Amino acid sequence: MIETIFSSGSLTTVNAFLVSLVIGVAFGWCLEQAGFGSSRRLAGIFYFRDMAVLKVMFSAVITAMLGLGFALAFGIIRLEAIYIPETILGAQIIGGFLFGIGFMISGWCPGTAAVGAVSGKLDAIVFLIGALLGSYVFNSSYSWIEPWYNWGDMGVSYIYSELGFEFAGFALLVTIVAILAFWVAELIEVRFNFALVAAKSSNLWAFSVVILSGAIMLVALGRVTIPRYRIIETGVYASGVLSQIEKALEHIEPEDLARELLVGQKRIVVADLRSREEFDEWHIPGSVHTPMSSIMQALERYRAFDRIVLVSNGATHPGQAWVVLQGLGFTNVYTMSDGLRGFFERVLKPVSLRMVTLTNSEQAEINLWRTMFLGSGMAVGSASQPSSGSE
Amino acid sequence: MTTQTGNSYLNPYLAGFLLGITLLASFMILGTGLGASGGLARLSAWCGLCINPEQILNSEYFGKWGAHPLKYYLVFMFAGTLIGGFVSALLNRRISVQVERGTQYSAWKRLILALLGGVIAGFATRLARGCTSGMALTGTALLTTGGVAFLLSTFAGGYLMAYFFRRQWHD
Repeated sequence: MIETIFSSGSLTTVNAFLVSLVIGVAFGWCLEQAGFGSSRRLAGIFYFRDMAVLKVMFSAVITAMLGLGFALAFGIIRLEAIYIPETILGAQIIGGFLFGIGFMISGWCPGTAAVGAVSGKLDAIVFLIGALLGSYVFNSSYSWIEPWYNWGDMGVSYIYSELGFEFAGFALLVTIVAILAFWVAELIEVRFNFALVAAKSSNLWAFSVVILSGAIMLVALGRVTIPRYRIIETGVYASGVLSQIEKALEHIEPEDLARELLVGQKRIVVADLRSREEFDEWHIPGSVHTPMSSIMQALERYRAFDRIVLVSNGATHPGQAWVVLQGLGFTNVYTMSDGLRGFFERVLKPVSLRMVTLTNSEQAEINLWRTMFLGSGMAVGSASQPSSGSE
Repeated sequence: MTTQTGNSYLNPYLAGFLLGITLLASFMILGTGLGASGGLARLSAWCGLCINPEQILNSEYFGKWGAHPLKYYLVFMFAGTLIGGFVSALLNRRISVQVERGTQYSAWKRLILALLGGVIAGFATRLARGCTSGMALTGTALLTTGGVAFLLSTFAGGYLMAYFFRRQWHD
């Protein structure tokens, strides 16, 4: 099992930046080789003139999908070591639709425009300036767009699970659809002259056979399953779990969490179990929104951390989730006493509103907490996943 | 007006295969997929910081990226994309300064459409949390629901409106 830069939590190191740069070079090289430095070629797909976008895109998808399938089947990598982009279905459908219109009008998308710009295409440079402006406009109108931005939040969601398939079976289906699409694309380009396609497509024939065999082998291996987290044989004794609860070892006090976050020595992740709306309204800086139903998948990547602290408004949901996670062998999970309500009451409540008399140092600490946890632009030293909207 | 010079392009299936290998390498080494619009958005935030730091730092979206938005892996990936594209275009003698369009269409009108499309696309990537690379390519390769939905709606949007913008490619 290999660890990735993401799973080892070092995506913000210089090393990660260098690797990204090298991967970017390969990415730009591939796009240019495919002829994607030309807006005419890219726009061709919308007028059925040049189907290169479909061919390149689907070949890449199939290659990476099957490659990853084999890597998972042979246990080379765990799926948890890869950052899976979250599904926010409504936002992605509206966003995709708008993006398609922008892509068609300009003949560019961000990656290809980068390649077009360095090939001397002035329209690509203008597109990139437009994209910078568009991002800026998004930021300026964010408060207005926010409900749309979070519309249809499904967390990590796989299309095959939603449709009741297994990974390998669905990958085979996608492969077959792609092969059909390739041949139709070839036919479209020559206005359905079958003889011409038959004469010049020996390469495509070979490629079709290779990817189809790959997909069938993957089904035959049949070992690529998404962990569904059945609680069996984790080596955890119920009595052990219950005695931890009895000794109150499962929780952390809000003040202690605040101190640990500020010191930043331990690797701590705060998993916020509330709804997306509540999370967006306010959360402990650096915490991660974790929907209850996908909590295992979301927290798998933090198994090696010093602490995973579950928080919600109260302490009931975190307590229930804690028990489930114990069964799955998570040994670093804690709940926060009194939940976020307790955090407000005991950490964030202003000195002036507190009934008890406080020493000067206590007062100073409370004021520090208030600036750090309520102030803007504050980032507590805590790992979070790559921020939403990363690509 | 398109004057395609230099060597012919790579076979699209081979180019796609190599792109897929690049994406796979990114999964295995970085643990994330490819991305382009994320780097651009960070650049946009950085430009904003140069003009009006107060406002950007307090804004809800860009504000989360703090005072150094360029310290991010996707910014470096975008820089790499520029380098890789340039080297490939240079070696294959495909660099030519031009506004790519149909011969019947004016360069200015084409540039205005490129700008308009850029603004729409830039905005849309923030809403959808990615572009063709980060959402359509990476998301679909991982078979995420959002990635597939994004890919399908991208083509839906493009094909639905394509008729109205066809003239820019007429020769």
